[in-house]
Amino acid sequence: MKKRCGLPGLCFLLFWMVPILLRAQETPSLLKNREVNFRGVVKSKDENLPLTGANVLVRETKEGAYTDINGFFSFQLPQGDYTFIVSYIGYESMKIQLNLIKDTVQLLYLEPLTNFLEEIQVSGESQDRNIATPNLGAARLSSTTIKALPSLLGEADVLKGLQLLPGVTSVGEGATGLNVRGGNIDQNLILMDDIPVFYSSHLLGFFSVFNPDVMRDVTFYRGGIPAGYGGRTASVLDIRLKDPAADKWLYQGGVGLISSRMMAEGPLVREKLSVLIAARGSAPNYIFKTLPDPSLREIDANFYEFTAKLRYRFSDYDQLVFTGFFSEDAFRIPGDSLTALEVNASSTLFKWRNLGASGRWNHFFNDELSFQVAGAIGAYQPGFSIPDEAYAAEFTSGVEQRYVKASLKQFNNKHSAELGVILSGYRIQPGDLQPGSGLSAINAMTLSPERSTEAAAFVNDEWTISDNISVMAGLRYSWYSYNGPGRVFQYEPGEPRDVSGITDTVFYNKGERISTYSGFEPRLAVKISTGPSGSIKFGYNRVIQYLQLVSNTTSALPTDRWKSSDPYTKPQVADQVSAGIFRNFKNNEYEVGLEGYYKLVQNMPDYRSGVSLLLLEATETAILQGDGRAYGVELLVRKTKGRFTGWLSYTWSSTQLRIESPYDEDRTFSGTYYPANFDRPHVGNFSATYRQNRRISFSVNFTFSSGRPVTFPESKYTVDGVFIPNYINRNEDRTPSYHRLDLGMKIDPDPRNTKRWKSYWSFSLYNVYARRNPYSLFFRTKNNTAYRALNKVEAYRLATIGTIVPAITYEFKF
Amino acid sequence: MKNTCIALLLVLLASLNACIDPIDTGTEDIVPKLVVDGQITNLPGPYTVKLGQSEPYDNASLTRPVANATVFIMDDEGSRFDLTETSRGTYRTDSVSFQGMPGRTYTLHILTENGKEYQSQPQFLQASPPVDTIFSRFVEEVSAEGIARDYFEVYLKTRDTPGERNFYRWKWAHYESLKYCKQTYAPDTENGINYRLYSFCCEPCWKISKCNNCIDLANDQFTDGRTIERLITTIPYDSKDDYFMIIEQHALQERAYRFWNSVVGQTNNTGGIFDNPPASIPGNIANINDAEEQVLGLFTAIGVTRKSVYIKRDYVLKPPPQDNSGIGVQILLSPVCEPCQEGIVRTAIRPPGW
Repeated sequence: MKKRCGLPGLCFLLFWMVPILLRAQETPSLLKNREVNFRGVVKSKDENLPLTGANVLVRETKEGAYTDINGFFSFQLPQGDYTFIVSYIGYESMKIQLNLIKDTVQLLYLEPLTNFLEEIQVSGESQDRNIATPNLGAARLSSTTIKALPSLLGEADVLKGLQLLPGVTSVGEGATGLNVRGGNIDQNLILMDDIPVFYSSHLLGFFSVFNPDVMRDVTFYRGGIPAGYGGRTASVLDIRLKDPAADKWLYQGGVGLISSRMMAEGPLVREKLSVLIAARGSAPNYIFKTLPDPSLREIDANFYEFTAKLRYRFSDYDQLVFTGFFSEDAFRIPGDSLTALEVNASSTLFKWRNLGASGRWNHFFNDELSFQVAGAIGAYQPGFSIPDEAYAAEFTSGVEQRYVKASLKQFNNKHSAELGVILSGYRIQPGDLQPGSGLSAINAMTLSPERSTEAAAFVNDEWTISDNISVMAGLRYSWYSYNGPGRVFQYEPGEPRDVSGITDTVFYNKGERISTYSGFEPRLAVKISTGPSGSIKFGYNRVIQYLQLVSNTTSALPTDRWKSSDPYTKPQVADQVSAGIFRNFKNNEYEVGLEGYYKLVQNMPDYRSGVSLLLLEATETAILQGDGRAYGVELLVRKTKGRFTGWLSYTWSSTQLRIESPYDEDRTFSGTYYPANFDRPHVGNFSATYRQNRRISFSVNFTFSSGRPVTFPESKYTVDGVFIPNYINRNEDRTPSYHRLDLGMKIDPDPRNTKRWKSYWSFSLYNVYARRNPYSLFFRTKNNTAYRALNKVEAYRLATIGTIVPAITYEFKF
Repeated sequence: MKNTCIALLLVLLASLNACIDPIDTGTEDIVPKLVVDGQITNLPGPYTVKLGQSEPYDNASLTRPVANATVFIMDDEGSRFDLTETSRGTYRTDSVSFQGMPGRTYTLHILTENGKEYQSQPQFLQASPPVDTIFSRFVEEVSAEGIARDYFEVYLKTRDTPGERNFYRWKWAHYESLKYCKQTYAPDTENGINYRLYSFCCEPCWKISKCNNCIDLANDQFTDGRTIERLITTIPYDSKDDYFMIIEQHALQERAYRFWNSVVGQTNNTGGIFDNPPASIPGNIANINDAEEQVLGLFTAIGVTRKSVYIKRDYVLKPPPQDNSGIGVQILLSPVCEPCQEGIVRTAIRPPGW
């Protein structure tokens, strides 16, 4: 009986216990009912750098997380045994088994893949990021990718690399800046470790000021801009520098045709305080000396830059980072054709300087909540000088931004939220001209500085609502004030503004507000999955820009001035809607994305013809504002794995401006839409890398784009014996198309070589078939006084780089 | 690297180099527009106003004249000065009754044959400050081939009027007296001798050299009230003889200055990245009944000061390069003299200051 009785009892007990026992085996915590935290940082073993976007997976719970920009991840898990799988493109996956009983912090190092077959291209992020996140128009380029591209004269350049992405163009070879989805070059917010960079070019535009050695990666938004960023309407280029190595000293350098560079990084206090110092310098005069034209041989140019970064880790919860940056260019050209001082000088020396410093403190309250404070100063100081005694002159100008940004970040597997405030002060010195010697006939002239303040508060959340739907929603409110002291001219009402029509001047004292502007800037992006390997996305964003670059030349000069919004010059406001379809094939080996956008910009600037902007106080007599519209479709096909990696992109777009000019001289184009200078309807890029073996890889790059708009003269006429062309239909014609093929080859050190010194060689051929790609078309009228019948006008084509340019670069690490 | 036009900065420079190719852009049909080309000065007249039509850009022909128009100038005191048509499209003031006066304002009126009425903006004639001095500087230069190419730089000095905005333009012309008014070539290849047949001028005749295309401008935005020292031109060192020049200093109004400044910008356009994108250059004449009609060209009233100088070239110790053009040439003199053809390159009128 006992037995009989006991058995069902036992059975019952067993039945009752089994699920508990089974569950206890799965998740022992249920018994103890306690959750622990597991967090860590994923780093690369070779470079000791945090890996952003690495995938950390918990096998038991099927939970996953991506590491953030600092390589950080975090899980909240019941106590127990777990297997974590950590993976990142280009690195060996790693499996670790842990028994989690208490909160645990782990530093995880990933080994780089020795065969490099899965080279990191464009995105350094997880393999399906393109379909998994709501981000539209965002891309990330790693320093490795940028260095792998064949480049002009062997100078790896982030801005040239970005031009291979859809939606990014420039006015032409050698022109400074980027035009993103129909934006002007001043509409890109460029931050380097939080330092605002106002002019990003060396040698007037051929190379950028960003040293590829010190860059970790570049995040680029041309749509779906998170609310944490503001102040520039077209794009955000957030450049992050390497964190200095914390365990041992590393050295790296390179010698190229244009520049040479050196970098050292290492710990001052092991695992606590580390530092990175890098320098790059160039004196390419020997290249000018080989040119056939004597006036070109007289060019004298050089540039250099320094970057330094200091990182202090108080604890796992706190770290402090400082970055400093300084760059200077000098460029001497014969004559004074660019300065508009009209003093027929024998030469002009242009100088421009970038300087900046930033500090950032990160504090983690716990694994989900962190607080950051960043402060930065970025200044750009261009100038020129004329040496001739009779007209010796020194011109200086500058723009400077100082800001503090504080934000709280909440990060878990449902939300990635940020809440913050930012306070900025701007100071612009529009121009200061001083006689260069006692004998100079130049009068001193100083324009009074412009001061302004911008304050913004923002909230942004990337919310994973379900497996299929996630949303990035943000709101930014910005407020801007143009501050005294200053004076504002009053003009004849109803008349076009002209210096001769100034009726009155209103003076403002220090601290008084001359004018204020403000507005809400909503940002939204929605992702809806259409299956395991596809998604569709929608986005909308509004950005307000209070500061702009004033330039009436085709490509901006280094000495072009920045202008604060004032009672006459209104801030630019851009609204963009975009939508895209994304799909991956063959286990994320192939990615396909199709995006479309439509953008409207209010208060786009244009300039009154024939008015010089240099040292002009009443800029409102020269600046015209109108609206811009841009729309386009961008297609990107990418192969991310295998010996062959690379991408193919195609963009169709249109960018147009419309100016309502009150001046009768602008009558011929006023009120109608005309194509912007950088409008290129068709742009295609193909970029691929073939990795032959562990050491040798080949790369190829082909780029095609429609010609740039130019204005052909409609007719000609004579006044006072001079033939004058008449240009009417603005930007209605185009230069012939642009296409170019580049080839590159890289030889990396033998991976079996265990010596500390490692050598890297790269060879490149730029413009392989030596096409004379047209930069522009221009017209010359012959002015033959005696035989007027021969005064035929001829059209010419100018190519900036009309030949094949070979280059060789040597790099080393030890 | 030898061939590389890497660059750069050709872009910046006005020099045509290997990266620049001529191309064919095709022709468009155009609607001709009225072109006005006229100026008056404070110097004695007659002054001319030319009316014509704009023409297709690649057309090699001359401007088509606009004839049979009624053209007159009004001043700010209400006086009217009529112009008479001397040749098709060229209208001339009366040299006796009309001379521009500094301080006056002039307006050009045009009534075309087909009844359209045009008017210029009022043009203030501002006096030009005197040219203080003209001086020269000898420059030795050796060409890439090792040939001496010495020259003189000619400078002008003037004093800017303080407290007002001034806009300047400078022009120069070189005159040399011409001995032979006609030269005919008769190469005799058999003997290796080149024969030339020269004819004397029947009257005193001067050859004129000037640069029509050179638009030499300045404004005093940064040099108000200062002495302006300006390189006007360079002259060759081909002889120790004095070099005769007439240098004119023009006081322009802002609108005219902007016009010429835009012309400089567009005609010296090298297609470079730092050029201003070209646009139609606004003139100062409009149809009084139709503001939309584009009228090209300019009517200006200009204050002119003129200085005639002989530039000394004998202060240089080294001898001028030898003239080798006469070697192997046999000159034959014609018994018949040749008249001095009045025109752009020659004149029989004695230049002022000669």
